[in-house]
Amino acid sequence: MAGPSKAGPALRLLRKGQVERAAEMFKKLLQQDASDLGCMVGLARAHLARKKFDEAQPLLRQVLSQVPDHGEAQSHLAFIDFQNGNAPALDVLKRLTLSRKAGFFEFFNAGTALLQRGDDQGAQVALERAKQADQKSPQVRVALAQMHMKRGDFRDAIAELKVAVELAATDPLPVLLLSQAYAAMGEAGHGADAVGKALLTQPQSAPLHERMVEVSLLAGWPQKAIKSAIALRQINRLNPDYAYMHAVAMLASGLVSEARHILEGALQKEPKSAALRQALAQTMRLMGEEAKALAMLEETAQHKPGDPGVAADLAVAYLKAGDAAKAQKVLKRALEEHPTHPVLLYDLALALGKAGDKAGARATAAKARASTDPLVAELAAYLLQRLG
Amino acid sequence: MAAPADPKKPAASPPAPARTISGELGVAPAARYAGPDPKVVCGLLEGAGAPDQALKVVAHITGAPSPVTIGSEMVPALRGAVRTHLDLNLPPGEKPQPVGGAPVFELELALTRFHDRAYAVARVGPGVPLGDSDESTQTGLQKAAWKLPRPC
Repeated sequence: MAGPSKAGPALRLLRKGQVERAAEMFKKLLQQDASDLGCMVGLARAHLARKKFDEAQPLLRQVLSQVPDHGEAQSHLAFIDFQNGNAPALDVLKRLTLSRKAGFFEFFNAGTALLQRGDDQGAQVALERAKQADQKSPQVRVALAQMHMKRGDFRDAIAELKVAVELAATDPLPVLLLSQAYAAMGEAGHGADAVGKALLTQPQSAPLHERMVEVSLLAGWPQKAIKSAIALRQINRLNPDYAYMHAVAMLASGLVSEARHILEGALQKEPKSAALRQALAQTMRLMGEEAKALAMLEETAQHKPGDPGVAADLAVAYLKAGDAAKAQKVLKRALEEHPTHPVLLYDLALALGKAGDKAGARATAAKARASTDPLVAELAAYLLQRLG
Repeated sequence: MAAPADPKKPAASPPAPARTISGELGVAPAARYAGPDPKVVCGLLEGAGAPDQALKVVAHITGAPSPVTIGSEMVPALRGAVRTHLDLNLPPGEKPQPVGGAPVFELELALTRFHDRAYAVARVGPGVPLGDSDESTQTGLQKAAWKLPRPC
């Protein structure tokens, strides 16, 4: 009988996430002892982690030739079959979870396949069992949290994600999802706190800084948004999006002329961006340059008539000038591309109301009131009251 | 009499305009903003429920409102919300190109990679006895006993 496997050190490397180095070590050990089962399983895992299914398959078959009831190897092979489009492999994956000896991978593979098949209930059962088998797997926590978020159970998602953040402290993904769940709950401040904590260990993470700008703005903390926008610009000076985010954060902080200055610089790099031109027009208007702002919006609308921000700003300018027909025209054109856009719907309700079409105004305002944006929902409710 | 200029020293350049911490040129004091407070209120354009979707945060600039008269009532019109990210103007299906050498972060791809990492980082043994690992068939007590000084 073969002695104990020498896979230990390579497995430890694999667990640290050093997949390439671990794979090399497994290969070397297998050259010394081609029958080392632990190394075969380890190398197969390394291949699966890199989606190299074709390389994992022969190793797993070899494991089964020596230990025919090796549950993990059977599960991985069935999972690869399922990924290759063999639907009945799902039944094999389910059957393997029923074994008394079933371990983490049997449950994890079945849960993932069930999730892909759209069987959320079955997936949840399998993933909960996977969680019991390995309490410290951040992947299972994230998978469960994704299912909770899909169903709108944000509290449960937050509970799982908090653990995932602790378990995968150097990966930005769990924190990104956690802040998203908090934002969906209307608790953007908690999201900003979580991102801020993660930034202490990952100060150069662009996705984390981007999220910090977003959730800080949502939480009403523009200073934090400015700080992260500046960090983003230091990470990548060439990205015009980061300059734009910086300008929006400055605008939110009341620094209008500074924001305009940054936007004018970014416009040279992205002259066709409707978002940039719209933000610039808003700074011009705030600075009292109404004619200049209108000219910029009209020029932008010619190139991008469906842009919701530009259309809404133009409509407001036309409504202010008393031209409800022109306002309706630009709004209806943009609504063709964005039929549920809350601001477009709200402004159209106003334009219809101003033109005397109260029934049309009421119906449109009711649609705007359903918006998840609290400001639009509140104003739409007020408009409905006024319309009677 | 002034000392002759040292030909080895470079001529003094005119003072550069002040820069902000981010490298922006400072705004001249004459251009300081004196208009209304923009009063920015941020919100989500869409619900943030889908875990594979990016957060769509928008900023409403509600300062200096534009009221519209409907009958005898004055109702504020709402300007277009300013997005917090640039529109990329990409054709449908095309992915953004890296800017400045930095790879573009794609949430969906990040989710897949994170998921696949489970096969590497799982803390479960390979289902066979290991000779040199935490998953050895020896119990903790046996390992500790091995390290204890042997009786004489």
